Amino acid sequence: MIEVRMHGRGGQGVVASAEMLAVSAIRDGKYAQAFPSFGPERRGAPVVAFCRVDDHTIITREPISVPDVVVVLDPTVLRAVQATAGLKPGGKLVVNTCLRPEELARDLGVGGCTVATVDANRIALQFIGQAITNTAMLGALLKVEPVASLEVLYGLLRERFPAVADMNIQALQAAYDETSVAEFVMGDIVMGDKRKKLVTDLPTWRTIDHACIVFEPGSSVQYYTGDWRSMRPDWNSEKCVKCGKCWMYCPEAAINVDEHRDYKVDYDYCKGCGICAEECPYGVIVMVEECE
Amino acid sequence: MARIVGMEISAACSEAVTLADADVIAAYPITPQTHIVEHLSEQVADGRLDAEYINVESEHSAMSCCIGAAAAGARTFTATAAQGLALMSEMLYIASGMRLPIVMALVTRTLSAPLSIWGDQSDIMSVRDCGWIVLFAENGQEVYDMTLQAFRIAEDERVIFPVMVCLDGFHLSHVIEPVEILDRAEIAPFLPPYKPKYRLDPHNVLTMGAFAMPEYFSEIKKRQDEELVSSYHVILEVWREWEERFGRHYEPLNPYRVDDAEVVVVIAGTFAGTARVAVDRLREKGIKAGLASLKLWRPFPRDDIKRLFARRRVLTVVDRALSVGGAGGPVANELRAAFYHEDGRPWVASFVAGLSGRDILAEDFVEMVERSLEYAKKGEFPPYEMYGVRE
Repeated sequence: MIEVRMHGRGGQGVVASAEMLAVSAIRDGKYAQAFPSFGPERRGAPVVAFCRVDDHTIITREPISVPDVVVVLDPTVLRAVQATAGLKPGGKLVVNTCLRPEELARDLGVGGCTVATVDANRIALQFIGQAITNTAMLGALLKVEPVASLEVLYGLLRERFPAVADMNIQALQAAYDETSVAEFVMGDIVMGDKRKKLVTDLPTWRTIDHACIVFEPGSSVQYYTGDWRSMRPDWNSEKCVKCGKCWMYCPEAAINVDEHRDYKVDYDYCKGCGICAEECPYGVIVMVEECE
Repeated sequence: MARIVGMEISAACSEAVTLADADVIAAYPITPQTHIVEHLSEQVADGRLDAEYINVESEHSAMSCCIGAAAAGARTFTATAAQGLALMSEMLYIASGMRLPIVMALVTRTLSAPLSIWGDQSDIMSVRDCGWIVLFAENGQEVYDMTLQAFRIAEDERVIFPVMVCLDGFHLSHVIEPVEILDRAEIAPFLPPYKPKYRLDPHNVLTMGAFAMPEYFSEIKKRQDEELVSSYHVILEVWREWEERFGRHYEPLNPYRVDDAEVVVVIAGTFAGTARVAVDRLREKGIKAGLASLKLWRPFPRDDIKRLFARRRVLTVVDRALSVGGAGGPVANELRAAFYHEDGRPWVASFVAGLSGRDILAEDFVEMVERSLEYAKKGEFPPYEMYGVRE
């Protein structure tokens, strides 16, 4: 059995790509299963989907915690979640990034696995016109783990999305061709964002509050909504006239003023909604891709 | 000083709420509502009760209002029945999950269809698992007493759960009876003003009703379950204090002539009174019969049941609710479950009777007991039977 876990953000087609992979494998005569991780997802929030492919009937309903392959559709999600958690030794990590596999492996500190990278954002923008990377990342996945045939997947895309099938197929094929693969024999698969604390001290039924009351005021500061961001506001402070409109309009109170009346974004909480860039009368703020 | 007054039992319930000095009453005034909230609105209008009386547009809103008021620290009351309870059911789970000590009088009545306004206990049994403490009253005095006890139990810091006092529709709610009414000086030491442990307060902020991820939910529910189960001890403590102060005795299963009984009728609510009459008749006929009137439904009094029925041959359990397509009457099933692993467990004959206002006469109880004994003689019991339906 091949078990694939896909990480991305709400709206990027993470769940749809797991589904298309499974349906393609089933059409190829295999057994497959695809399902999302259920939760209060919203556009931009980290999303996980799973896909299993096997030659036999699949009966388990467990989530995939020890995947053979991890696919990361959005480079910024690496900041938010432990995408490589549980990846099997010798497993495959497939990431949408502008970095080379060696650079990514070094950045993440991973070894003992295969790393494949492709700049799916650029490919998606080139062929589809927007940074929806799910089809491109299916191409990257199939290059390192051929769980379904390209022809069947193309047929499925033409059926399901006739209006946009061709551009998606082009993106998928380009990503398939451009994906760089490198194997890192030495080292351990480790991960992550040092800031994100592993949740090990959950309360027991005796220590949890009787009615789920939250006594700590302002506890939402513990929730780094900046992890949702796919576009980042970039500032050209020299042009800023300190009018404060960005501060006024920011719905997350993620713009702060310092003692020099300089306006600064708190990227831990900025969701990248772009309202500040829209409202800035002097074009000081521009929205840029997170990867840039 | 306490005085005995002839009054409608619904009014007695309202008098108890007035004596408890409730702060907020939210109720939907149209059918299936009862005189309870009508009397209360008069008491508030006449200035006898200084409370916020909120006329809402549905029972769902009534309970929502109570949740908000209780979260803000108010002593809160509402009353409903039948379809009203059904409409409220979503909010019942929220009230208990948020651990808000709301008190509600439930005038137990049947759930339509067929369209019916009469009494049975299908409404309360439909919300069996909603996490409230549930008491059953047998007569007007118990309605009055239990309404006052309910506030004390609900607000106890070892409990903090909503409490429902069930009184049978029409057979209790619309009956005139003598009820001993207490005065404020008498009740004050028993029920002091409500001091909430937690409440929404801008000067001491906290968040209620927060979202819980799956890794928290089960622990919160486990705590809720453990604390509802252990509220049993507080309920008994409150009942002992009530007896010391006011001389009336309460226990989870009120027994009548059970000491040497070979067959015991079990029923919740006011028909237990009629069943006592039947027990006497059966005794005259030489049948060693007894009765247990179930006063406490949640938390389920498992230990009392085991103790009282340990060596009983036959239980005749009469449910005023039908679990359609189920395994038996709701009370009968829980009794069976309580004894499943016990040696020498009693036989449980499950009868469904008294639906939608149909009376259960003393002779019906006699008949059900005799039928139970016949089943016992044959050693064969039907899973349950609807008593008194035309074949």
